[in-house]
Amino acid sequence: MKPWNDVAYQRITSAESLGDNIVVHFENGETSEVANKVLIPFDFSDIKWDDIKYNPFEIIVPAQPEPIHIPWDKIRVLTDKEFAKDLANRSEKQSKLIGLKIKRLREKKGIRSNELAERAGITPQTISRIEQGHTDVGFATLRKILASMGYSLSDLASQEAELDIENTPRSFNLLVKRLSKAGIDSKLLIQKIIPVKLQEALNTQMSNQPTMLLDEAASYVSNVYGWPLKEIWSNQTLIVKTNPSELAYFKKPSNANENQIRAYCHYAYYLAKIVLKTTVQKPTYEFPGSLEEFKIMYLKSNKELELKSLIDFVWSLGIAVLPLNDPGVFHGASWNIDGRHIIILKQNAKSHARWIFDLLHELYHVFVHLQKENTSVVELEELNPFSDSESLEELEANAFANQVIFGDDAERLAEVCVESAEWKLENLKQAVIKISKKEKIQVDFLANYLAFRLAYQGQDWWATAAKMQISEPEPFSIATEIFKKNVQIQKLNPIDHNLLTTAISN
Amino acid sequence: MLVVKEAQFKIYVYPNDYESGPHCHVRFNDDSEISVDIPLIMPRYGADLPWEVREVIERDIDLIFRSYERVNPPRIYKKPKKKRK
Repeated sequence: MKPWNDVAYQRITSAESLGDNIVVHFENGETSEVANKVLIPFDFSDIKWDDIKYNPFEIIVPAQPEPIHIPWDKIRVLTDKEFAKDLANRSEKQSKLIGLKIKRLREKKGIRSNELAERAGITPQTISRIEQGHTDVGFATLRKILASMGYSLSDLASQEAELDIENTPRSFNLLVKRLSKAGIDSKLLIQKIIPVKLQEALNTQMSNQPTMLLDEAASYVSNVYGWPLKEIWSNQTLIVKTNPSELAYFKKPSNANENQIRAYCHYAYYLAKIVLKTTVQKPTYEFPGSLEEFKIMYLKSNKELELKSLIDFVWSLGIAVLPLNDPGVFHGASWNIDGRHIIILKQNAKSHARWIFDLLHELYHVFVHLQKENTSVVELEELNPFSDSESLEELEANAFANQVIFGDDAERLAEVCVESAEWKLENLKQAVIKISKKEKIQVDFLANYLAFRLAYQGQDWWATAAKMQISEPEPFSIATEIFKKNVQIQKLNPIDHNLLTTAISN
Repeated sequence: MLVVKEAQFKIYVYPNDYESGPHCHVRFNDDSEISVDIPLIMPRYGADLPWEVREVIERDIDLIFRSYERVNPPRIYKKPKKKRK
């Protein structure tokens, strides 16, 4: 290993001024002495060499108009010939690589060298020298050249992995980078798909990660996304292929990244398939045919609408409920996979009332719209009783959830609360508490309804509504406990077992 | 000069730091540092570049490169004139 890769070579332990020199001690025991005049940029004056300070990374010299910061590698490059030589080689290599990349980008676009020079407003000789790596290219020139081909600096940097993939040793970082380009969120990958132990093993061997471990990491991805290992490690662009039945959503948020949606849906759908594989097939029940029938069925064994009972009830109908807790644009889904149903709940709020609303909403999709095999509903926007969705199905699902919770009284109750608060926001909390008691409606449901309604009118009452929620035990924990009772995870193969247990870990 | 500040790390460029080509210093909260060549985002020495750092540099590459060049203006070399014999 080259000594400069060791942090002890880099870290400064002390620095002092000695005559016209600065003497710097490093953590590895070495000392460097360098003339202070070579360390000072132009335009600095009133330099107080006797008052220098330092930290492990830099020396700070008081001066006008501001203190001068000198990094450790500046000291090293001026005093260690081998280090300076290594950096000079790297710099030369980088110039050549920049030239090579520009040339490849130009050729990819079918632009002749002369034409590029004309477009960028520089001479053909300069283009030629840059492409051959014979000259350092500054920020402005580089941007001009790239912009004239429709590229940015970021494209030049991100192109690195693709161009050099066949010459670059495989690494975990390279894998993450490639998958990230395919839309798979890096956090999802490292937190949920690739086991932590495997990542730790790879991290201990950063400089030369064993192919076997890298292939094992890639095989988790291969399992979920169906790409062969060879394709994952190739320089081909990876595309998440999704069956349309995995991805029926009503409205895509305008800022959503289509690739990320597809990648997450594919992951969630894969989990859904595993869950159904490991869940004992329950006898097929007739789903309730109406709202009243649903209430009668539910109230036969439950006194009131609460989260644990509702999730148990849904499982008892033969519908699996899988909670997930990753951030992002996906807010839940319902699938009919080969005639079996699964609901995925992904509510970030810890409010029982919000989880109940979401579950009722998804149940309606299952009851009414997902009778046909291999159909789906994916929620890309947070569920909201006042959603302005253009989809009739979404509006019906909201109406169903509201009617189960409030009967036909939601609007009347909201009006009574506002009236009781004398139309003043500051009185609304007390009014909601009072009306919920009087009308025997759970206070958290009523508070949420009013918060959503006020938000619809442009008023934010969420902070108050949030304080009126039941949040213990955590809804995610309730849902995972019930989930674990209903699935036989131990029957899964090790990869699927790991994926599912990690998915439901908090 | 601090250019980018993230929760887990900060990115600096220094004036008068042009001996070895454009680069920035990524400094982590655990007192470790990785120096990175720009604009190609290649780590010089130290540990491998974590993906989240690479993503941030890629996102802010214009700002980082421009900041580096502002404090390390490109040097202009002139061919020395041949002396008449």
